[in-house]
Amino acid sequence: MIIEQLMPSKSPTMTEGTIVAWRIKPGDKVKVGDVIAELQTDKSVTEWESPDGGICAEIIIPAGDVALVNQVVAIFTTKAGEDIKEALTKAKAKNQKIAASISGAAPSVATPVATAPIAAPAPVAAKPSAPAALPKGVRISPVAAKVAAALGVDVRQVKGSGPDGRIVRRDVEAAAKSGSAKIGVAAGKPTKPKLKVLRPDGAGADVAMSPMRQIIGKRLLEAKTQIPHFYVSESIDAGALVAMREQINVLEGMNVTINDLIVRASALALRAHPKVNATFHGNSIKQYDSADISVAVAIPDGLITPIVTKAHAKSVKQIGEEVRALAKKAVEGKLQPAEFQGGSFTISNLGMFGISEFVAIINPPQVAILAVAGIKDEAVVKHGQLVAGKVMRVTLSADHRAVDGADAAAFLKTLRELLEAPATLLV
Amino acid sequence: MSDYEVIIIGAGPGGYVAAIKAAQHGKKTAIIEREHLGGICLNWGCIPTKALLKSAEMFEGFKHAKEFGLLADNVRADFPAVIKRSRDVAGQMAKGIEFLMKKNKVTVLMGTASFVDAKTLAVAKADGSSQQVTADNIIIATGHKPRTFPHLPVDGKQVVNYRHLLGNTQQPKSLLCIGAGAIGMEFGYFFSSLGTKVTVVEVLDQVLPVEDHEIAKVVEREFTKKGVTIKTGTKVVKLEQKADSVAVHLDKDGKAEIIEVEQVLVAVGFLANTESIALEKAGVKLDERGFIAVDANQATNIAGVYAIGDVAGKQLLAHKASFEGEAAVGHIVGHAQPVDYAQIPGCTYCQPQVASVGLSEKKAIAAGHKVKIGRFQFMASGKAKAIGHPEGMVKLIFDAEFDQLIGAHIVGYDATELLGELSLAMKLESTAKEIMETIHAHPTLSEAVMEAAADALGVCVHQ
Repeated sequence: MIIEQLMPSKSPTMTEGTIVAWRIKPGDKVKVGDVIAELQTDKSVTEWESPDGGICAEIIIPAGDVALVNQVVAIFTTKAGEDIKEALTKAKAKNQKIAASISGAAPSVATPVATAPIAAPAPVAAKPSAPAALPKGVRISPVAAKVAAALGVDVRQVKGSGPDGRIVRRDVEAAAKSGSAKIGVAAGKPTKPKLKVLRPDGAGADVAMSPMRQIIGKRLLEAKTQIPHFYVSESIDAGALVAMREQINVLEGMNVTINDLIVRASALALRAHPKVNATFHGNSIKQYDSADISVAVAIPDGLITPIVTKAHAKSVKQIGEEVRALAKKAVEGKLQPAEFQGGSFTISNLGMFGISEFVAIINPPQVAILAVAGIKDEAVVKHGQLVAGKVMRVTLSADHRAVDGADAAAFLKTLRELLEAPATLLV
Repeated sequence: MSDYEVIIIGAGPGGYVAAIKAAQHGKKTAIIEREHLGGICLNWGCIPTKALLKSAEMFEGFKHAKEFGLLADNVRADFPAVIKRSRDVAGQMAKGIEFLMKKNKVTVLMGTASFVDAKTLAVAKADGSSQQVTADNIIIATGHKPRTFPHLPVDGKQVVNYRHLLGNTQQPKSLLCIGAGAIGMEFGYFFSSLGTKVTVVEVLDQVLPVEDHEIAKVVEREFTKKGVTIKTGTKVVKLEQKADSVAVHLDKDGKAEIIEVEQVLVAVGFLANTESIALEKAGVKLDERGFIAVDANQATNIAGVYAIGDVAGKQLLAHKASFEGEAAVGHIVGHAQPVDYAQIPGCTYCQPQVASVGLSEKKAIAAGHKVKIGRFQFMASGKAKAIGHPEGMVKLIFDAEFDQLIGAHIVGYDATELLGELSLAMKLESTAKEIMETIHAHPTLSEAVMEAAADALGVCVHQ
């Protein structure tokens, strides 16, 4: 086996070293820890103990010459008489590459040993950056303080979980995630990422259809061309819904999302409107008692619709936990067929992107799908007054073979009434 | 009403600490021990081996006396006296535990405990009598025993485990240690220093397999220089016992080799000590490796039954057992404080010593950290030079994003005594900056810690 002996780095500022003298010659047997050479570094002359055992086959950098750190200076083999021709070519190529990578720092050929220490280039990490000034009286770990500065978290608003309430890293990260302690724009750096749209021209790409994309393409083409879709939209005043969600999430361990509440509301509405909670089978329509709701989840290069079964019989908390567990499995590709095949109704929610409204394609053999848009701050009229409100638009796509316009409208009316009186979702 | 609020089975470093903690919380506490207060740690492990290693280290010192301008002719090791000192130290420590139990009003029941049901224990005493005691909470701290393998039959004479070695009356001329973990390396160092021809065989590709590879390399180099033969990546195929030697059949990548030695130390793997305590009567479940399965609070599947230390698996370390004991008692008294396994230090006491806490470089990278590494060689430390121990280094691993300390590794003279500040730094979530800016006294070996932190930030002074 070939063992390359590389110029070691004896200090962080060392970029090259001079071989003052070799203590070994080709053919010598070397044990781990034997001194094989004397090295002049930028600081001193030191003995170089071999990190490996073996037989010295070739010395590449002769005594008196300089090598850059990590250049191959000698080749050892584990057995005597091994062929090292290929290894020599490889080593020389490697040495050239290292020399080329350090622009303007090509080794001088025979630096006399006694030259003054080489002025090394400044190390990359120059000065440790000063931490942001901390408010007085805040007990916080050094790492937590740095994380807070980077994430724009106001440490005065963070509750510490460390020894005697000291703020530790996990506290700051939790605060950043919940957004409960954001520093105002004036105090911290703006953390919104910049849009990356300006870039040099590049080549286009031919992208092969993955098996998943092929299936999505085939199924949705059939659905969109064969099902007589019609669409009914509704605006929902989501002010109470948003407020209630915040109230629920005051409780430790609760992390209810708007989507969880919509799944719950849809399940209740479906129980009142069985025509929408159905599948179409050519000559027959199957209506369901249970609201088994498919939830569209984006996964790498596609989407999948895992099912919350019996959503009408589950609490908002249970629904939330189930959706997140299913979504996690979906992204990891671990869903079992039973977890995404079937379902009596689908919800597609693009609210997290803040879009105004959209319509979705029905997921056959189901007969309806609900498209949920983001919640927008909008002017609304309440009791004859123009006030600031929160509006969420939803659109139901329905299969006219199974559902009529009045059925769809009645379903949406129920859904609106539930979402606008959100306490109904908690019983 | 139960006889006791807490009973602990086993008085090792996990059990006796748990007993004291429970008593300090005002719980009526008893501890059952079948052999010695202090357990393996005080009687057959940590403490007696440290006594042996000190003898070895002093002997090494005499060998180099001339370098220090001292003439010490004809210094020899009196092997039985070395072993006797180690046993005496262990004996003194065990007495200390007896005093601590008394002081904290913990009842000590000498005997072998076994479950009658989840709240009742039978204690079989040496005189043949038996007693039943009941408790609201039972903490199992019965420790480990060395694992045995069919192809490595231990006879206690030619083929031994660490416990046999501690009672050796004669120094073997040659010793082969199977396993280059802490036990194999410590005994390897001890016997090699006293003049035994030592070979250490390890199936993995480095000595001290749980340590950082760069640190292990330094130890391997120093051992090799000392005359110890290290064989990594090597399997022991079988042991062939002869009249006064053992032929050890080795295999390295299909290449066979036979080494004949006087004694073989088997130091590979451990099993939980559960066979005599009738766990099944309490319904306590084991994990797939045969250790007692526990949650973060050391609770088993049976309410009121806890397990701590070696019998609960993970690392076999006395300090881990003690902290698990505190965690179990904390849960019993309503102040849960689970052990943070990422911050348990590990030490090996051969010279150069090895001490570490947190992630190795390879594990940090595998865990997805972008790392910043700081190193400082003791070669560049004035103190290390002055005391004649320039070998070794400090290697600190920081997560590059916020410079958080995530791993600390020291190899060198008395490295284990240098680790404490780094464990503290990690507990307090320190960055490289705080370690670097802490004023370390000159001249001390601990300056190397400060310099290694500075190196990570690219501003090292003495290197």
